[in-house]
Parts: sequence; C-alpha cells; structure tokens
Amino acid sequence: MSRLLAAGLLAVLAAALWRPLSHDAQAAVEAWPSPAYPQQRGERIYRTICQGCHMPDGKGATGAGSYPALAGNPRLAAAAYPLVIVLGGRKAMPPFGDELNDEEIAAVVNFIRSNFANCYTDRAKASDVQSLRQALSASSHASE
Amino acid sequence: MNVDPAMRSAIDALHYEASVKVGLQFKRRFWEEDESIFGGITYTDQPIEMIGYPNDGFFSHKGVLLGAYAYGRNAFELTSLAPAERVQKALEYGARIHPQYRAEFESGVAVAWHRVPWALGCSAEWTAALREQHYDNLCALDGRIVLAGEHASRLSSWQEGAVLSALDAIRRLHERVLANR
Repeated sequence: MSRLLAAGLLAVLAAALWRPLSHDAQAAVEAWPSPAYPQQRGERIYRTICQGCHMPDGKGATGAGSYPALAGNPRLAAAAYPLVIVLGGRKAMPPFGDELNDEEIAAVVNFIRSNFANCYTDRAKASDVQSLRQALSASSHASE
Repeated sequence: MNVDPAMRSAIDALHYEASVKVGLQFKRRFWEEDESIFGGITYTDQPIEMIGYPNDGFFSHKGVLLGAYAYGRNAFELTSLAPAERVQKALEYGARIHPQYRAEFESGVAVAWHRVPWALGCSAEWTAALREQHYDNLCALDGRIVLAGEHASRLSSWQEGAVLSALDAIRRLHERVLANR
C-alpha cells in the first residue's frame, strides 16, 4: 500500500516537475496570449507596441518632441506611407522591420487605417510589405 | 531647431531605444532573510528580463527591488501598459521566481523612457552604418549650436558618454571662441 502510494506520489511529482517547466517556458517568451483570429492581430500589435507612444486613442503625445496622432491623419491615405515608416522608422520612431514580419506589419497598418476615425477600406497585404522591404534594402545599399 | 541640413538629417536618422524599469518596495527583505541573496541580479527569460537586489542596507527593515529592466520588444510591451499595470506585470512575473512577492509587496513605481516627457526615449540607438553616415555631423559645431549628451558620444546610454561629450563640446567651443578673439 505504502509502496503504491510512493509510486503514485513519484508519478505526480514527475508530472508536476515536467509540466510547469514546459508551460512556463512557453509563457516566458509570449508575454501576452496570441489572438485566436488573424484579424485581431493588427489590434493586438497596436495595443502591445504602438500605443506606448501613439496612445490608446491614437491621438499621439507631446513632450521633448511629439508623437504624431494617427487619428484622422491624412498621411495614412496611402497604405505605403505607414508601411514604410513601420518598416524603416522615421525620426523618433524606431524601425520595426526586424521585430515584425510582413503579415504583422500589414495587419497593424490595416488596423490604424480602419480605426481612430480613419475609414480607408483598401487593405495592405503581406506581399506589399515584402516588396517595400526589398525596395528599402536596395535603396539603403545604394546610399552606402 | 534651425540647423544645417547635415545636422538635421543626423537628428532625424537617430531614434531612441525603449527601456522600462520597475521598482518594487517590500515589507521585508525576504530575498536576504529567506534566500540568502545579498545584492546581484537574477536574469530571467520572462518579460521583466531581470530582478536586481540592493547591494547595501542588508537586513534593514524594508527593501526595494529592481523588479524589471526591459529593453527591446519587452520594453515596448511594458511601455504600452498604464504605469499601475506595468507594476502588476512585474509582480506577476517576479512572483514566479520569488513567491514571497504576493504577501510582502507594499508599493511600486514604473518608468518607461519613451513616456518620460523631457526625453521620449532611453538612449540613442546607433548602428555602425548610422555612425558612419551621421556621427560627425551630429557632433559638429553648427553656428551657435553644439549638441552634447550620451547620444553625441561613442558610449551611448552611459553617463560616462554624456560627461565625455559635454567636456568635448566645451573644449571645441572654447577653442573656437579663442580662435575668433
């Protein structure tokens, strides 16, 4: 009886030791849970990266310099403009070309262009981001 | 700011890194009393990146830990939260290492450099290519303007870089004033 209990305890212990380890390792690299649907990806990226500076309402902020408003910003009329800025950065804005993949960059640009009082209906595609990446990298090599 | 186009494009080319620090005050110094940890750092692959323990005041009444010191993607994500939520995240992740966090927590404060109004970022993020193209132009005397700070040094993000840059800027300014006397 006590041997059975001991074997059972060992099994429970082994499970307890093994399971939390793999669970924690996964949780550790993913600070926030992944969205279930791809169309939520743009909003999630905005909420976990962009709003730190551009603010939850997309109205930007001012301090030593300014973070431009995305809300009602006419510069978002052509998707290529925000795509290029997210990819390569501009002034105080850091580049995110190495942080985010083509699909993610298209998703977050689609999110800002269809929220915060912006109503653009055309969608950026991952393939658009890919071509801009190539163009940007070609132009930065040319200037070196 | 009215500066030469070369300095203007140097300023525009240089962005500031994201970084976040969280300070957590605890009712007792459980890391010393329970774990015999006296100073130093615990590194973790969680978004808080590290826990820093005070290197002095051992066995005093209360204590403050550096509960998070994040750069890069982790810093962007922590910056995007309200300050109280950043403290909560630091508590949640830190409690996985020190379960005493829950019972002993007293208060906390979070600083996200991209939200510090007078800085809007932690420190200049130079690359070798940016240095090549813009560093000399950024540091040049431009009319009545000369820039100084860690961003105008080869020791980005360090106070030593800021001090060396200040000394260098003053030296060059002094030379110019004497030359034009």
